[in-house]
Amino acid sequence: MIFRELPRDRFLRLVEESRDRPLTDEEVAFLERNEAADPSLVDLRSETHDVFDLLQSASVDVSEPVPLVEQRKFEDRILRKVNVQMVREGFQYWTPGFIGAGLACLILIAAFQVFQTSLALGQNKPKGDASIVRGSEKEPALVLPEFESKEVALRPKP
Amino acid sequence: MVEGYAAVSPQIDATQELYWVARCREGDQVALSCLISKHRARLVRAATNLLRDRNEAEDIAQEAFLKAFRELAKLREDRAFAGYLYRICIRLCMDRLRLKRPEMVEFDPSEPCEGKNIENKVLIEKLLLKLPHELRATLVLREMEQLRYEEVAEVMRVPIGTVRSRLHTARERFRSLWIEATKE
Repeated sequence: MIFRELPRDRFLRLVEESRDRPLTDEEVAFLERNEAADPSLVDLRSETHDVFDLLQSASVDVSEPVPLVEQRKFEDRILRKVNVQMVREGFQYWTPGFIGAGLACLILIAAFQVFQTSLALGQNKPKGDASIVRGSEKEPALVLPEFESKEVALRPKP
Repeated sequence: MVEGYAAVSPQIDATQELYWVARCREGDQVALSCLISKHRARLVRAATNLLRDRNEAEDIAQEAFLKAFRELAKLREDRAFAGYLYRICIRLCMDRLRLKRPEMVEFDPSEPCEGKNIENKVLIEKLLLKLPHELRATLVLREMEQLRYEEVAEVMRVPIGTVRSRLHTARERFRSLWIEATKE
């Protein structure tokens, strides 16, 4: 299906576009032909231009000079922020932070090492039980599983 | 300080701006100050036209300057500074508009007006606020800021065809809103 623009719609679009670019001869002829055929289009054209001329004139007027105090305040605010930004980007600003972070890392590593050492100490205990048998002439003996519950005298008998 | 750099002709003006931008890259605050005074009015005007709020426009202009100075290293050509700054400002306005909720504005004919011109301006303000932010921005950039289609497309990051169709829709809506309001 081919879309065909209605003459009135095309007329309006061209009137609007005439504000943005020079129209071609064919487009100008189209506008004039339609205006001749329908006088209400003359009003539509001038009304459209009036509305958008008004819109243009409603642009904020900044031609009047800004009071020097206001201008200075505006500049100062920006300059202050730029300074803060520049300081933050500098190495000196971050040096204490870097030192602190380094120290924290060292402390963490040391704590980890201590923890690992204490774990390793617990793991090196020999298997078996040490017991002291009181009474008779027996001396304290170490019972080791390898010797299948034979008692090994810790001290040779005199 | 700034007054001492007053421009004599556009040529000298452009040369001065190049000098100021180069000095800014080295952290010269006087040059920074000069660039602020030179471009402040244009940025505030554009932001006010888009946001319809002078205070907010001043904030956006400040933010635009900060961003431009922070990212000055990204600017390849010093002579493109003005356009670069303007684009940043418009994009910040667009971001602000996106965050804003659509405002419901009722036209109150009892509001005091000093004359036909003021009345028209008030009405235009109200009608612009009734447009969706993308249509409003396109219309304002073309009609008030007088940007070309390519420039509008660049600052809004959309294809030229989209600018053309948005502009047409925005004009249609604005015109019908205007007719409706003035008939009452």
